[in-house]
Amino acid sequence: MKTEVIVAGHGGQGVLELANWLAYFHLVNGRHVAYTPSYGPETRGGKVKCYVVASDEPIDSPIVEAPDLLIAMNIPSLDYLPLLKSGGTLLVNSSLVQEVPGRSDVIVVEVPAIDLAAALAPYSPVPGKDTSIAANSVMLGAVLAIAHDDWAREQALIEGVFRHFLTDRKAAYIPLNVQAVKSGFEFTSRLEASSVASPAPPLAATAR
Amino acid sequence: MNADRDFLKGNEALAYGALRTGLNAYYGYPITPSSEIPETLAAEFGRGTYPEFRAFVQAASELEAINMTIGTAATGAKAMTATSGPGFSLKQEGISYAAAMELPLLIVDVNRSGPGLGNLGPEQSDYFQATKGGGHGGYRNIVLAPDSVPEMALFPSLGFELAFRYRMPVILLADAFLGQLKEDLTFPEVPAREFDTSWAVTGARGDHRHVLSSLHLELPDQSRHVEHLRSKYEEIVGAEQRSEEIATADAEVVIVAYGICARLARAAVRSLRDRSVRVGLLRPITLAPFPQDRLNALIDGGVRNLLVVELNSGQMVEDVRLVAEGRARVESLERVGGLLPSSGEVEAAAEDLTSSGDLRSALEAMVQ
Repeated sequence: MKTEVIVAGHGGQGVLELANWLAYFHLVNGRHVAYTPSYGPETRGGKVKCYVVASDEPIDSPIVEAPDLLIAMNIPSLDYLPLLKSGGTLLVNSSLVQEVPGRSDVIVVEVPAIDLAAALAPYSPVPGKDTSIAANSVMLGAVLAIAHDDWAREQALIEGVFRHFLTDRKAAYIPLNVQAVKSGFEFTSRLEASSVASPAPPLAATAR
Repeated sequence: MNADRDFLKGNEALAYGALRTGLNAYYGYPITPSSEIPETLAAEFGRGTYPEFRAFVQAASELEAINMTIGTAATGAKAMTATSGPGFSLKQEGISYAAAMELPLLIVDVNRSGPGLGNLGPEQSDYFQATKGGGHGGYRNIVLAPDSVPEMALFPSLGFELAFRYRMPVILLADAFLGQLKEDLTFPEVPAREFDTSWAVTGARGDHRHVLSSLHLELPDQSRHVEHLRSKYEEIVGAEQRSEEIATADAEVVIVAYGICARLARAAVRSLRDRSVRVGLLRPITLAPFPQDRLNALIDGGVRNLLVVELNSGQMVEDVRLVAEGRARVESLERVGGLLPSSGEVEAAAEDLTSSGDLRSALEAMVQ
């Protein structure tokens, strides 16, 4: 079982972090993973794209040419939509992308990631600080929901992922990020439950 | 598989691989896409986790860095420097001196696009410079080409082993893709190796005078020295060719590719085999010495079509043609500028060389 993902957005959105966490989540689930970042010289605002491949078998090529899942954090990310496999899933940050170009052969999941993250102000380690920066974690939660993962089962793993990457000063942000993942998971699960036809997506994040 | 695997960039894995094999000293001038190597080593320096790691210097230039590496290597310590194309060019003078003085040191080149400043994308265009003796004078050295993050972690150990066994600079030639790629890996247990350093300069400890010099003013002396270096490399050609083969046993077409191109080729071979197209892969692990014995054996065994896939304007393909000597058709698929071929392009190029591909081209030519 192999899952290929393209995560795209602009610098400052935490695109590479999201891809990193997603890859590591697969790793702690016992799978082989490959993560290939690609970005311009700018720290903020430049185009960012990352390939994530997770597989039960050793990975031949880390290059994603036809993803099962495209995570589009902004409008220019939709440039990669033609690559998406037929039957694949387009996960859109609908806080920034209001209009999704039509492709009838893919599943579109729209999650207002920035809005959901902004609503988590009570979990901010710095009182009053904007929490919309956790939009990438909201999208991670959406990915778990799309894969029909069980939150009760995955929460400890997600906490482990954050403990691995958010160390020292950043550790204070772990509760916020876990809440953001939960928020994205719950929003997307409700979305899936309410949609008339919800075909089983081709990706199971935790094939065990 | 267990959950305590590491998840690192190729450059980071290389740095930890070097530390775990007992690296004593690192000197370098940072350059993208190799900078995570000094970044990782700087973070570990002085922490005490690797007590043998006793020197880290961010030099003022690549010239300083390679000469510091030479100085440390002359004492018999394990010294390494890392860079990318523009810096690799600057280090060539030092590599020539190290080759002449027979010093074991490890030089990492994370190949970016060139010539000149080029860009930060992956290329394999430093192949000639790495494998043909890039500095002045006649010398050859061993060149190792990893194709995964686990190999980035493993090859510093192999590199030092070969460098000390043959007393020569060893070049680890990676590419920007492998440097930035993150994969899961489990660090192999590398036994601490003690190498023969009886040749090293010791500061006259015990009153033994060791002189390491590249200057041989008497003509016969220099001639003997160059012959010695040459016979040493001939011994290496006989003993150290390394390669990996996938599905070559009954292959009609064999792809020859290393580094990130070998990863694309693996995917292409798997996909073609699923369609019963008889394609295999020969992956050179040592680019120098080139794995000519295995390539010869494949040609002797009946392989008549070779496809070289590389990220340059045709460099390794020359070595493949030298071995083939007209006994096999040699085609190449090349990309430059930081671009990669798609696995579909690799598949199509390989399939075109099969007999059914030939037939199709012939039919298309007739139709036109």
